[in-house]
Amino acid sequence: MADIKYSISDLIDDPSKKIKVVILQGQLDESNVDSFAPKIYEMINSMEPQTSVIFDFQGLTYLNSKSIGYIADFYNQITAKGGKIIIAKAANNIKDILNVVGMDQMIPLTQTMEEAKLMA
Amino acid sequence: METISGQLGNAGEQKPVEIKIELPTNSYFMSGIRDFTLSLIENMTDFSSQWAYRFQSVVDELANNAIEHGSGPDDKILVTFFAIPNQEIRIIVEDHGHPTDPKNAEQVMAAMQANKNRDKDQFSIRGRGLAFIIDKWTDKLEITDRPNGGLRVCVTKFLNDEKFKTVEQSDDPKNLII
Repeated sequence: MADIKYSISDLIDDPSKKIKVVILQGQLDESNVDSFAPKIYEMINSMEPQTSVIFDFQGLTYLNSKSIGYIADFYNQITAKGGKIIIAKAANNIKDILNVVGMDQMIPLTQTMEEAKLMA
Repeated sequence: METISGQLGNAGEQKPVEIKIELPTNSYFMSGIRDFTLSLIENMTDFSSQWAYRFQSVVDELANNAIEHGSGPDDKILVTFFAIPNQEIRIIVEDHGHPTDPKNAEQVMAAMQANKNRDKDQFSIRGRGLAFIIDKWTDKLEITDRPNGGLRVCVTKFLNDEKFKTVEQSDDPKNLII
């Protein structure tokens, strides 16, 4: 089974914004995404309205199409609550697969966490 | 993971290489198959890293589709890697069909076409693998019915295309360079 580690925290740099940061490390694939996704749904359900979510993908080395499907669903749920979703620091192979399925047309990708915070 | 047969050639001798791997229908083994695919691409082709990662995704998506949609519990799928050095690399994935909801090749092709035409925000969790990742990152895609049930999906990437050896240059930040 592929290994995936995650952490969820509140970003408190800017008190005017409500931002959650999800840091992922490892590979997200068919073997683990169905176990991982409910953690994010739980986070979204407990978030206040207008909360944005930054996914820090710096440590993510693989992403399959089903995982992208979940990210699209996270996007729908987060934006429905008035928040934004941003993907930060993704490796080139991750950006490439997000690009080929058109996900980069829905979700902004940033090179740095600072850019992501500004967009949130 | 159980290797049922293998024939390794030397790339310098230009002999075709065929490796067959029989997999239980459990995604537990897929990270190993991905690692193997990267190693195969590095040893058999002049692909850039970008294309090596792309082909890794293609193999992963093909196998996952066969496991989820073309197999039952305790079933097996067969993944065949076939490479003619400096000419082409071919991946064939064969399944036995889903026991309660089997799909034939025509139905799968129709579903793929529907997904290709779907708006990006109208997808369910599934549907992007075949319609985008496999279709856009391979040169030839053939889906056929197997005589005793199940599907045979064969993808080919031709190696003698110069564009796969170098990464496209562009000012567009979406044109990714590895």
